[in-house]
Amino acid sequence: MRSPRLVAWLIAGIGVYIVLATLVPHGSATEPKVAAWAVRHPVAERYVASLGLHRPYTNPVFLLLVVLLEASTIVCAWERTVSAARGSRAVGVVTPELLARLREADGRILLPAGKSREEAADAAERVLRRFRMRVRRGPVLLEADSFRFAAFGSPAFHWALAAILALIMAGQLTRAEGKIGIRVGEASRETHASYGHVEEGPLFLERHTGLDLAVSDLDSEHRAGGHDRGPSPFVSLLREGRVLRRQWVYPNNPLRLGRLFVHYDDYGLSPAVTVLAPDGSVVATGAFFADFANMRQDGLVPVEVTLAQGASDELFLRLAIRLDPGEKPGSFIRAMPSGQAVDLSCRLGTSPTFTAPARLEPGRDVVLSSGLRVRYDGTRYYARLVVVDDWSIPYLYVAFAGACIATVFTLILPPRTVWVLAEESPERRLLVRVRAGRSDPAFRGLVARRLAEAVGSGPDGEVPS
Amino acid sequence: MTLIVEVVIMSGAVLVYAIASMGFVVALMFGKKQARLAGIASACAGLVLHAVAILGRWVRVGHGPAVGFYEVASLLGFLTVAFFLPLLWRQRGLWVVGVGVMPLAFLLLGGAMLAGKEAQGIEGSLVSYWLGIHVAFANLAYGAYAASFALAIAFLLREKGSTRFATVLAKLPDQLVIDGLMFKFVGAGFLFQGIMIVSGAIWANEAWGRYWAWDPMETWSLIAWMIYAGYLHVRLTLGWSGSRAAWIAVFSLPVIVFTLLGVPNVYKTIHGAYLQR
Repeated sequence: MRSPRLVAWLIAGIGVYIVLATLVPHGSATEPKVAAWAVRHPVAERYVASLGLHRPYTNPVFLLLVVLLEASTIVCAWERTVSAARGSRAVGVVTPELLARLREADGRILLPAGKSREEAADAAERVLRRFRMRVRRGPVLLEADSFRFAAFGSPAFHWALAAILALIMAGQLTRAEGKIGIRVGEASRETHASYGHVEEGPLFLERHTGLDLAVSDLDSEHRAGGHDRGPSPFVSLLREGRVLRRQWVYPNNPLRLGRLFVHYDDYGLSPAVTVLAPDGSVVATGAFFADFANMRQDGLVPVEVTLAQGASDELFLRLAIRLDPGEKPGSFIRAMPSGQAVDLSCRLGTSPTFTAPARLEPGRDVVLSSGLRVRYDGTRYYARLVVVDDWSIPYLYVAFAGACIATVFTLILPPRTVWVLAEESPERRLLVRVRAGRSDPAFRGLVARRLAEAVGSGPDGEVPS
Repeated sequence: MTLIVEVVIMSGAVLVYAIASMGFVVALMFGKKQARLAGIASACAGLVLHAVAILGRWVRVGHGPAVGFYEVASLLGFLTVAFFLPLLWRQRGLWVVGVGVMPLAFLLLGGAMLAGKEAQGIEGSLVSYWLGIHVAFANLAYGAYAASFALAIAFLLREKGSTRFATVLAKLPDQLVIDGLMFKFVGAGFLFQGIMIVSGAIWANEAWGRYWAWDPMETWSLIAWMIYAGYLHVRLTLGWSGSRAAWIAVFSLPVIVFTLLGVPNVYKTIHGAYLQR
């Protein structure tokens, strides 16, 4: 886990896996596009299937690589933190080890005759200040540094990266995301059963909020801030009738409440029916969602539903809403039709065939052979909302910001430290030690040159690391 | 500025970039100082013309160059030159980099001119301040990577010790300086691309309710980012520098160009609607 080579291989491995995954269609083996690809490439399919490239990002191979990268990043971050803390504590402290390193090092500049130690130290101080370094001058040693805090940039970046990976994994395990259709003027409780389609992480444990989601209006051409925002529902979140938050919901303007995000997905038409017994009592009611995407060439938007009207029998309904024609021949306006009539045909569970379609206006009904009456109550818009329950998103943003700031410190502001010792020895040397990152390869040579120029000499050896 | 005027000015910029490309190539091949100066002057003139056309369009259509292949490719060409010229100002010896940079800018702007130039409205999910941030950092990242690519080429040319261009290459800054600059541009590009990916994720979450969906554009951005992360990692931890690092920088740029311009034409991507038009 500590090996930099392993990290390099892990990054390369994940990269190659992702590239390979982009070359094949994604989905289950039964999906037409995946099945067709498998037929066309029988040899490649064996390898693709064994690597799980049709469902790459939930495949154990990919997840293992990511977990290894996460573990390696944490180990790396810890080591870098310890190293940076040690370096930070050492600043300003003249230890015998430091002096020994300086004396043993071959980074030295011979002082010309007539140049005193004090003058040499003065010159070195001026040079280092020109590098915008903070200089501390002691009786023995001159120490200069810049961007010292930036030494923590690399560990901070690695911690942020580890946090991002951990948050993504934790978020995926504990989040839920589902689509919910709500008729205008109605509400739906945010529970598992209310969703038409919902994906819950294995650790979500059905922790739905139980809040009420209400759609009180839908503007098919909503404008806000001078821009056309498209179809937009007005959504409220309520707890026991008390409004917690409400707003128009459109792209880039989701409704947020704690860990809950409500986004607009689509809208359509929602006809409603009531099934009445011969004595007029209500047997069943239902409101159905008809999508414009299902519109047929003749402008009918069909919807087929089943109503359980009793323990022993079911009622199958076929409704079709006729859209208003558009300006071009054969086109239709994807909005609430001016007349709300629907074509309705029914079939009781015991009957083999549907009744002939009956054109119904709102409030009118058809009578079935059993005496049941199916009343059409009219059509409204409905809004399909995407509800995301994910606590990790704000924390991810914080980790993202942390990673970006840490990258600035790591890459743009390199920490540098220079120690200069004017030695009192027969050789009259200026000993120099430079510590700079690998991101800053030219700095060592530059310091040596400038110091040599400043004291009027030339370096007789390379400045050590 | 009308569309016709804009197209005329853009065409002028294409022509001048072509002249600049020829100038740098002739200067390298025959060692002609006049050709080099003509190359630099043409690059400057082309950049001014290009800037005027971009600004004129910005004023006319009411938004920055962010939507459609024409605007995006044109801006990438502009940034290629805009990163190169200040670099040249600081390190005169780097003019030889223009041999690679100017043809790249010429091809980008020339390619852009072949696409539809009608103004695209900003509507629906595009109406967001994240659009500017996302696109700006994508372009900054590209510009920084393009500069690192050009420096890597210069580094490798001299490393190879070409006798034919020995006089020209001798005028380049020290290899350590080029290597350091290359690293700095990759570092800056990595940061800009990171911000681009993050801003895109935040924007996607606001617009569509998910911060990451493995859309081909997102996926290839991540691939490119990981390649440059690999560059930084091997350089900072394994001490790779010089030729090996330069080769990585050379091979990485095509991935970025493919991500920005190729992906929408190869894959079905939600970004295609904004970049392909």
